[in-house]
Amino acid sequence: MGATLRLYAALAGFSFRNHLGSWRYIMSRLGAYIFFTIIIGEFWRAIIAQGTRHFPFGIDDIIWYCGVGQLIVFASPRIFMRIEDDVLSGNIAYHLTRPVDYLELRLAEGVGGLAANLLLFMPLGFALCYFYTGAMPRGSIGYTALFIIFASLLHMMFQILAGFSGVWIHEVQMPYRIYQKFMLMLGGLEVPVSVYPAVMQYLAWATPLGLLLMLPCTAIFTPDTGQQAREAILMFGWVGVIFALMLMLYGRVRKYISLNGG
Amino acid sequence: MDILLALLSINLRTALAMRAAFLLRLAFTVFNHGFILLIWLFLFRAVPVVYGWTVWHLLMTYGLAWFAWGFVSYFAYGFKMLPRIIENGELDHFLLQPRPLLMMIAAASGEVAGIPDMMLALPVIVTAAVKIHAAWYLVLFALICATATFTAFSLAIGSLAFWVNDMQDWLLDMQYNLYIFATRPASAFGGWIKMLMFTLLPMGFISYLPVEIMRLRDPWLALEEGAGTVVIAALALIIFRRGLRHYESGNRFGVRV
Repeated sequence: MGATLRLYAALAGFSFRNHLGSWRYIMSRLGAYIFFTIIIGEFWRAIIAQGTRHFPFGIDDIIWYCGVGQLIVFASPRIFMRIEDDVLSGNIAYHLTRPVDYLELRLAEGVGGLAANLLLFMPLGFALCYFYTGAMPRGSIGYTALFIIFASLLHMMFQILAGFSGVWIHEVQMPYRIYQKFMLMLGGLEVPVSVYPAVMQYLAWATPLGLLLMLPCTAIFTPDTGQQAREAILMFGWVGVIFALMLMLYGRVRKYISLNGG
Repeated sequence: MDILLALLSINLRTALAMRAAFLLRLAFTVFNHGFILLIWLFLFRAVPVVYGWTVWHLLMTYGLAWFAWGFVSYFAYGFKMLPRIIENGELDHFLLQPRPLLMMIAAASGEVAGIPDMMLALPVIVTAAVKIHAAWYLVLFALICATATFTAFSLAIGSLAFWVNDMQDWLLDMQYNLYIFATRPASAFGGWIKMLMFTLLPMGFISYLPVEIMRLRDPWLALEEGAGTVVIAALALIIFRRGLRHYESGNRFGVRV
């Protein structure tokens, strides 16, 4: 057990260092993150200044909201592309015969990459929002950071699910993009869910796709820590459910490849 | 011209040969773009007018950017892949052919998804044009300028690979970022963002100015749009030609069929 853990820790560590070493990739993602946070922030500044409607959030709230939402999207390593390569090339069949479990290998790599990205993006993102608004958020940064970690893990597991679906439909980009669009829409990346029609708000609350972005984003301007604690439990529950679903799908993938080959 | 048509016809036949995949791609394209559009429809439901723009103006920007994206994906896919072509030394194959270099690079291959993108963008543009009472010649002018600007932008940033290595992913990111930027309700932007819209990320010429031309019917804006498009196209050509002088063949051996 200890040796196995050390192995995965080493794999995660390798991925961590590899991510931090890819400075061009990081700079490009950071640049895009800062750019879109400011663009959407400025957009909302103009909308609120227009004064044609009262929103349940102020300009500082919405800038912090955008900063957190974009952070989850841009800090996430694109693990589905790695799985796509393995699945579509058939290399996954060779991986399955190796002593290192394929899912655990990709998870360890994903966690290592995610840790590196979050280590850079979280402090930078919070600093950007602070200097941009000139104010601390109304909500708890600690809870928001916890939500960001849960959301990133969920996002990574959904990527793995999309990657595995390629075994049957021979296409990974499409299921991933469909998932991504649901996540962006139901999560309210650029337009908060509170602006949506009631039925969409209900859908956002009822699915992990909506909660994934909505909870971390709204936590940053929700001062009620009791509510945040309850929401953290809800999100943790979804992490467990999606993890179980991922294990189940992985079992099917193994079975399918054992019978049909890669 | 014959060669260009032959290349495009081959690309089209390749795409249509896999009918099921093509239809699936079409359905996916509707979903992919339609879903994000929903977000903005919800916003315009709450705020019907954003600095003079209604939801129909937004649909027009969406349609123009979407068409331009599809055009580059299908007719100028080579520009999207330019860094990879340069880095792998595949440019040698094109340089050895006695045909217009840029045309051969652009049309060497095409992304199937470009066709449904263009097919679906057109009804969006037509519907928006009817709703905002835009003159048809202005819509056509806007479509040409938007497409030319997006194509030129792809060529310009792709050509940076003549000087900097490992640019492929960055180019795709930049192109996608420009597309995303171009589909936002730009009437709300001002200050330095507006400056950015007409310089580094020229979405101003792809979606903002075309919609403003249709909305305000100002001939000066049309002139600015035309001139801006020509300048961006010229700049892209200059960057490409300068880069070409810089080009050193790759060290890979291969045969291109």
